Amino acid sequence: MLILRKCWAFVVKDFRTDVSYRLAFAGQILFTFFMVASFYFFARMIGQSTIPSLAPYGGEYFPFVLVGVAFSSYLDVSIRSFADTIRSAQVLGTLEALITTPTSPWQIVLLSTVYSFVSTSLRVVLTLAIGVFVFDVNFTNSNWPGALLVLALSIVCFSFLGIMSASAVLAFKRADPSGWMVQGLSYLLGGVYYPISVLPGWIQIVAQALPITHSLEAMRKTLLMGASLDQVLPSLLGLLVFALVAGPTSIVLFWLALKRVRREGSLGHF
Amino acid sequence: MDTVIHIDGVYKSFAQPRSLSEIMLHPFSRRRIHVLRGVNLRIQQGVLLGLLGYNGAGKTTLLRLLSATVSPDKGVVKVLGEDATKRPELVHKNLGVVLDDERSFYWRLTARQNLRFFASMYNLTNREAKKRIEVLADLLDLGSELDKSFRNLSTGWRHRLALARAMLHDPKVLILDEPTRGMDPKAAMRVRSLVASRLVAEQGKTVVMATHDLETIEHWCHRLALLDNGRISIEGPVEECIDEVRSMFGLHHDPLAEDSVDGE
Repeated sequence: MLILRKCWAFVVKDFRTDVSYRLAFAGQILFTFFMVASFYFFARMIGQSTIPSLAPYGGEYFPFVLVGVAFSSYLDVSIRSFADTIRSAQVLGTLEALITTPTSPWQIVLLSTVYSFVSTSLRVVLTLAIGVFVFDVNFTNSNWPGALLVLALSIVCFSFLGIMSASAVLAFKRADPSGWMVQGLSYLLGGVYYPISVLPGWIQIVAQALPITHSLEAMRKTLLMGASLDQVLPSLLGLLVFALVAGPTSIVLFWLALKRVRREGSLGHF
Repeated sequence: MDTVIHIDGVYKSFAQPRSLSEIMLHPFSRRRIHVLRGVNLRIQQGVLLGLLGYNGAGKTTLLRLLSATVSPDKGVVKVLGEDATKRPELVHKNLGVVLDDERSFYWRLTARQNLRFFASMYNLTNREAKKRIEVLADLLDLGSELDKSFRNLSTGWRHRLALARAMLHDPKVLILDEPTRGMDPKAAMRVRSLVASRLVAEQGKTVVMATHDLETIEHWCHRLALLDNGRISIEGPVEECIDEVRSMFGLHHDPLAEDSVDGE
């Protein structure tokens, strides 16, 4: 109960802050519409003909990219929100005030990103809804429980990357270049805008090391083809292996970063 | 009386920032500033201790060590028997901290919304938080400002809000870094009186207060500690030590003087 109360306090605080910037709040909704519409017209330019490399996902480009863009936003929010939370708390001076409460630094970092995940989920729903109701994308054959499982596992994997990025910001203060690099590589190699089968063979092997590759592969197959969990098992195993490696690594890095700032007395520095 | 704060043989140094040429010439050596050099201090329950020292003497570092946001290079800091380095969360359950950063709130929220949020971080239920905020608003005369956005509060009100936040969970120990800075004389007097008469004398709380104001120490504190060159050079009851402190600062007590004496 205590952890839920704290979680709610963070969500309420962040929601109040968010809506106090009314124009930005409304702008996000408009931006989502413009983005989906842009991809729709881009897909129209490509044409209605079936693209061979998209055959495993139904063959059409617009549904393929709609799912890619919608769910890659979880990667963005994971990598950015953990690091941004630390960074803005450093700049606002609230980090030190939070750390001097009985709430553990772990809880502070995890709970302070909950609102970002909630608002991203709403944006993903909005993105898919625009695709369905405005641009006639069909999700009637989707395996929604399977997609939710893939999503949960993906968020765990992405969050570990985010905690690594937050550790770097905690220790070194400025924006974390490794976070940007993972994000850039994920968009380049992870199959957000195009299937990884169009990449050269050896790059496809590198792409397998990125969680987003497995996440989008499984997400598209469950949502666009109604694939069962058995059919997306290789992707689920890929995410699981990543989580097993990245989880302990992120915990150790965060612990080391916290130890470093306590040693250097730089908790309130930015 | 129980000893609430133990500081034993504490050393603390900070690495100096390096220029590019220093990094190139000496990549593995870093100059360090030695801020604390073997500080020992015991503070009993129900004592208001004034912490004095020149700028850069290490007062804020010592307060940060007590509030477990900085760890010592060597030595032990214990608050109510808990090691501040090893068990910071346990220390924070009984510790309220007002550090020198007035920005440390959410600027888009009101004062009340800020206090409600931090009350949750201090494990208070909604009902407890509501009640406690009303009590603190009354104690610190915050009523008129509670529903104003934090960004619209003056420096003095922000400091009062920081004090209210530190007292949300009714801690046994308070660490205050110049708590009346930026307040008007009436508000400053109210806060000092609140700390000395209500929190310490009535409720038996232990307070460590860093200040440059000798008059505040003389009128309100039981004991003082002077940090000089990284060590506690004078420590004891105020009435026994104040003259020695004045002479160290090159000041002489003038009973007719009414202005507060600044050690700067």
